[in-house]
Amino acid sequence: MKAEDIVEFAVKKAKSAGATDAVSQVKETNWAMIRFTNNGITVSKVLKDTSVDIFLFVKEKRAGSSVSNLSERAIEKAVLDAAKMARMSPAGGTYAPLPKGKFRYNKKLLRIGKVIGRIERLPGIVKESIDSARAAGASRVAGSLVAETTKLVQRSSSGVKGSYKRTMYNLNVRAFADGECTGQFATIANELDKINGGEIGRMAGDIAKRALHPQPAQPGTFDVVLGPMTTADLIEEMAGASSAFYVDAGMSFFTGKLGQQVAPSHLSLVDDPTSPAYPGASPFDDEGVPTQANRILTSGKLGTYLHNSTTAMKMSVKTTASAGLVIPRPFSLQISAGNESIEDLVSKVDDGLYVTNNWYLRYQNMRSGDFSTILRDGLFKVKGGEIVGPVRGLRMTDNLVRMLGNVEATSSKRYWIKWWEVDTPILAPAMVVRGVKFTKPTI
Amino acid sequence: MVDTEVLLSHALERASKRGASYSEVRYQADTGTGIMLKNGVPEVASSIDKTGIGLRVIVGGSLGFGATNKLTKAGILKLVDDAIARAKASSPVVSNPTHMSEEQLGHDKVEVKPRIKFDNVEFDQVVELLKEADSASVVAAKPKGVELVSRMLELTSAVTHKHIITSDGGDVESKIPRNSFYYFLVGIHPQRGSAQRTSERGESRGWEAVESWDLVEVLGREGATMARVLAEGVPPPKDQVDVLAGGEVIGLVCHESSGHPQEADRIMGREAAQAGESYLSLTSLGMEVGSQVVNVVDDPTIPRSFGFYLYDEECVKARKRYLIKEGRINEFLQNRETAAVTGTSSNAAARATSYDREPIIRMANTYMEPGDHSFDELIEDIKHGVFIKNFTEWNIDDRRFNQKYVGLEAYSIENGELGVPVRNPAIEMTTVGFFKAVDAVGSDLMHWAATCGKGDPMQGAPVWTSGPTVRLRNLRLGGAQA
Repeated sequence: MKAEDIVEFAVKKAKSAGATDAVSQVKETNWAMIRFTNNGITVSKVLKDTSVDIFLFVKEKRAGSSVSNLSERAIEKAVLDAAKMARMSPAGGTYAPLPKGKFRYNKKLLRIGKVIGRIERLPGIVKESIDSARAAGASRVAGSLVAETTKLVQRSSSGVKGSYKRTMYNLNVRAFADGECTGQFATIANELDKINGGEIGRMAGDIAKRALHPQPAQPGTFDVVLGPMTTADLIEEMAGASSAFYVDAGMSFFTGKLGQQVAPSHLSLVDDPTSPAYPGASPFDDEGVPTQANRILTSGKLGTYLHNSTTAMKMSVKTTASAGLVIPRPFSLQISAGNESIEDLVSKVDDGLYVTNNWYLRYQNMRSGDFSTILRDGLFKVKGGEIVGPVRGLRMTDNLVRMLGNVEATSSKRYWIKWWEVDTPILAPAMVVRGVKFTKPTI
Repeated sequence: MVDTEVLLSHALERASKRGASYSEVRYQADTGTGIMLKNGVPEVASSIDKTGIGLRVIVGGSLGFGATNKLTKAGILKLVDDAIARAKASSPVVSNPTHMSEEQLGHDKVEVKPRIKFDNVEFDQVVELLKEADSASVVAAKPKGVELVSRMLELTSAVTHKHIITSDGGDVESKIPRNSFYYFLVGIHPQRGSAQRTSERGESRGWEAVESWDLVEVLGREGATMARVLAEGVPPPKDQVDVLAGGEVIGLVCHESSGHPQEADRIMGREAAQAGESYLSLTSLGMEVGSQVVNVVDDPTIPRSFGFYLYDEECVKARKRYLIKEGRINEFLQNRETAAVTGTSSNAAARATSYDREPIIRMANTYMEPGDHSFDELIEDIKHGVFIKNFTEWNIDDRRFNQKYVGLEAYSIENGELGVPVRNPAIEMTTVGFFKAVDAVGSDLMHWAATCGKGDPMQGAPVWTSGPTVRLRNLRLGGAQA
């Protein structure tokens, strides 16, 4: 069956099995990845896949099935399984019928990005990034380059009928000047021509070289400049905490803060999937509702949570077209730019740190925002507004709500970031945050 | 009906014809059901059927991986051609050609038969169990004035069916059921703030595993414990203390600080841009990293364990592996790719979590071998200390040397006796610092389940993290934020 026939079939079967509402998606993926290590390619991967998702309601009782077998029989079984689970679930939740179509979608979003006919260019881009990182001072270079084209077809029992094609390219480069002196940078774009392997490699290599010969860092509370990679990671956490699912579950540090000033007035955060130029763009969400720009932070105020129809009904608001059928989520984030260069931001710090990257962020308490994360790659001491040298061995141990309130400035230059630690594409600047707490091992 | 065995053979033949020096084809079907309860209300039930074929080829030293769920002869042959074409296109940028070590490969069938199939359990019985467990946590927290404002309970039942054949003679089929239970709790005390707790159980058997966990009792105990910690917890001592670390903490430490840094692919840099490398090198065998009482093991062959398997994804027979023996690095986790580089043998650590994921080196069930001390013997000569029974937060650097574990359930120890609850004691120390501080190991080995993340794309592998209660001397705790 063609994708269009599969979704029609699944929705029809769901209705005849007693579903009050049903939505089905077919996703066809053509994906290639090159992973590289120690200045050479280690593995080249290719995936050709089609998956079918069915999500149905029997009033407020909901169930979903995902199946990779595309036969009529397998899809029918998946629908019947989901209908049975939904019917047998106890009542008690909120019933928000699926939004009624038919919707009109932005035609520019029906074909996002540019598919390259032949992906033989990928090894060349990898080589370029390795060579430029080495030229910048790295001895070893590792990373990954991904090219992905997805076709998504969606139907719902309430008249939704949509499909789009999207292509994305994602490059991540980590440079090693020696085992502990490393630099990393990443980028994502909808066109391969916008992936500049040489530039990303050079940036990673430059950080690694500057990180050579680090001194042990002292723990304490410092003013910091967070590079775009770390800004992206922390802001993605904040966007995740604005999902109404987590707010409703009591798992978000933004619970009860809607409309409040949670950040300085110069800071804004928008989830905007409405331009084909933005990585992560999409014409509609998982309920088929046309996407919109959602201003999560407007001049520092928490402007909205991200909603699907169910969370919206629970909180008596309209959906923000952010479905996730269970968990609303962001598509493509942008943090507001400031007016200054990254060097200008560094000049604002008398005695502090410049953090280029982090990983392994974990919450001691998601509700309060208490967390810690390990700093990795180049970490630099700042004195009198200038970077004076590399340091190592610190953990950022603080509170995300408090840190958000202490953002003093953002850089004018922003970078599209996505890598292992950052799932959602983010246009991220560097930013200055005052009074951040750092700890280190006691033995 | 597709004959998968025929498809697998077609794929090997095609790869050989197209010039592959090695090929390996894996059919994998992951089927399962899950249910999530959010704050006492069923949020969603779900089922998954993820079935397809993944293959690896080596052409002129260049490694290619391909995967598809188009299970037709034409689909598989096209996949082989594509994987070989990609590997060839990359070969000019390959600096270290890939080879596979020579091994005695398995010809076998492995099946774990559930005593009670999940399909035979009434769905409303599952929901009722979760509701009862959820309610038990709420009721247990109330007497101390603590409200559990956020409660997420998830129960998952799955079966993994694999059939792997390799061009050098491996042929292994396996069918393994897994059940797991995950919970997340946030409690709030009106005057003393909030706390968070997550934990997981998991086993490779049927519904009888879930019955054995006594989830109502587990959640009731968690609710009562969190309430007591919030209502009565005192800040951790700032001076030097001895620490008793519970088995749940020790299991995680063994996983993060021994298992991960001893994965040979990390040591060789294959995960450098994502999960990172290691503080160890290939020459670190024999290096002293802990006291003589520290023995860390990874063993996939433990019956019922969450990380159970008898052959890995390269058809190598699994065995128990001593990672640290009497405080010294004893063995790395190896697959055929790394063993070919080191000139050793694979110890069957290649795992893939679904057909569309490349087999890479993974742990299975990692634990500190139990000693002979009872809990009373461990605690009796601690004059001033803290017992950290379980944890709420942790992280570790990408060389696996600088780590932090924040306790949730913890108590002061004075003159050999447990005292008042302690709030948020943080062990923040180096790997070697931690293992060298161990001076006695308990006999009370306990198991917890976890989903270990590694690889690009990410692969979440089922594992056990296990340990007995362990005594550490002369630590300084940090992280008090009560």
